[in-house]
Amino acid sequence: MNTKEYISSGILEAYLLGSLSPEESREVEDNSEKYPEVKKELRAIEDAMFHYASKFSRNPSLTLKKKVMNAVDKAEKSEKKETSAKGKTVSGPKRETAPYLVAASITIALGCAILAGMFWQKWQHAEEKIVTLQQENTRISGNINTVKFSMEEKLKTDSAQLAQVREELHMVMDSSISKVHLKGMADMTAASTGVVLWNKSSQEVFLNLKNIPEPPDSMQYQLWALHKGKPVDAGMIEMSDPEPYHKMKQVGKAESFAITLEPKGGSAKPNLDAVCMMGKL
Amino acid sequence: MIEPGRFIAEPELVRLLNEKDKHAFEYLYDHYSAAVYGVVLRIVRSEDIAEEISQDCFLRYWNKINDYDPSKGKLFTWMINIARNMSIDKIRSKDFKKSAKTDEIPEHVSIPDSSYNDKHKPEYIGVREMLNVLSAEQKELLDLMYFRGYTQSEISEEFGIPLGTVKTRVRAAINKLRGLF
Repeated sequence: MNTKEYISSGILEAYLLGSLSPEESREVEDNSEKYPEVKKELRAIEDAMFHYASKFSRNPSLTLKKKVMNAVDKAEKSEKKETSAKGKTVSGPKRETAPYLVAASITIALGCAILAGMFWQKWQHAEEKIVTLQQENTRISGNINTVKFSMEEKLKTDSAQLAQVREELHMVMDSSISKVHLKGMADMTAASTGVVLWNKSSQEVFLNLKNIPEPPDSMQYQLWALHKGKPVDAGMIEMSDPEPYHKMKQVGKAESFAITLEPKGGSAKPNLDAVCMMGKL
Repeated sequence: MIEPGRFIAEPELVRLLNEKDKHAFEYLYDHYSAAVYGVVLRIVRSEDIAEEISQDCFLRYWNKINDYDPSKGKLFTWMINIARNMSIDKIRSKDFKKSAKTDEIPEHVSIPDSSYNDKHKPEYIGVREMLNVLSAEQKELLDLMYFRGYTQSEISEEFGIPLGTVKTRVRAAINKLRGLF
């Protein structure tokens, strides 16, 4: 089997997304056992899907935890009852004894049984109480942990957000920074917007793009700075760059900026038929 | 007794769960309930129903941990597939369609859905940056497959896209996600 072809057919993704039939799934599992490359690929896709799903995480209410733990307690107790019911002992053979001895021993036995019963009940209650207290304790510390964990996460994100907002504000308020709005042209809809932040003194250029479509696989967006009609390459736009402001090449002089769609890797001169966005200072 | 803050590696966690260790189960809940609930919520679109199903899921994890086979993948994958299947079964059930407890579900769901995501999500920037990487088409594809339970053939039929194309697009989408992490 050509493992490369198998892998690029997308069947592994389908398997992990749970959309294969049982027979097809088994085939994937067999191939994963047979071919280590397939197994490795499967693991990598699994990781990506794990991260994808985790991004949609939401904390449920704290009452859900109580409900879940209660349900599990119930399930456990009914299981215990089942197993203890199976463990009853068989009584031994009977013997002939004098009637008064029988009566006396029965009374004593009854008395003991009653006492035993009382003590057993007390012991059970005490046991239950201990278990309840332990559970309560664990539950509370667990809850504290969950709250602590989500607060820490929130703090991290809030701090990150704050840092980003500060940076953006700094860039916008710096008077030596020029802001150029880029308008979408040709196939780009009005929803696509771009802003170039150009620090004339440091020559740094930052580009923010919103809602621009993915370029075809072989193409890439390229930024140009235009000075006296002459275009100068200002860098390629990495669509996978997670930063909202892409850092571009330094630009010394410009009257306007433009973005064109070029072959991947860029061109020395812009394709004037493929101008997507433009803006003047 | 598992002290709070202690990390349990997956193989040990699975072993403890198989032994019906309650503390291990609680650890499982603490670490995975948000992920499970998040996925369920995204499918059923109702907090009440999502909690109900999440509870059923966790009970299932407790009762059926023996079904989990580590050689087939991670514990999380097993858990999430159970959650997804229960949720998708629910949305396809008659009483769900009748009760209409849920919010209006748009025909073709586009991420992000701000009413759910922005308010409570702990990693706000994480979703934004991830979703900026995927094209609108890719987002929709993953949403249809992951959260609506469409198979690749169903997508191919409903949208008139050749099956082979659907497969390669899904692969491209997931490759992009791999690049991120």
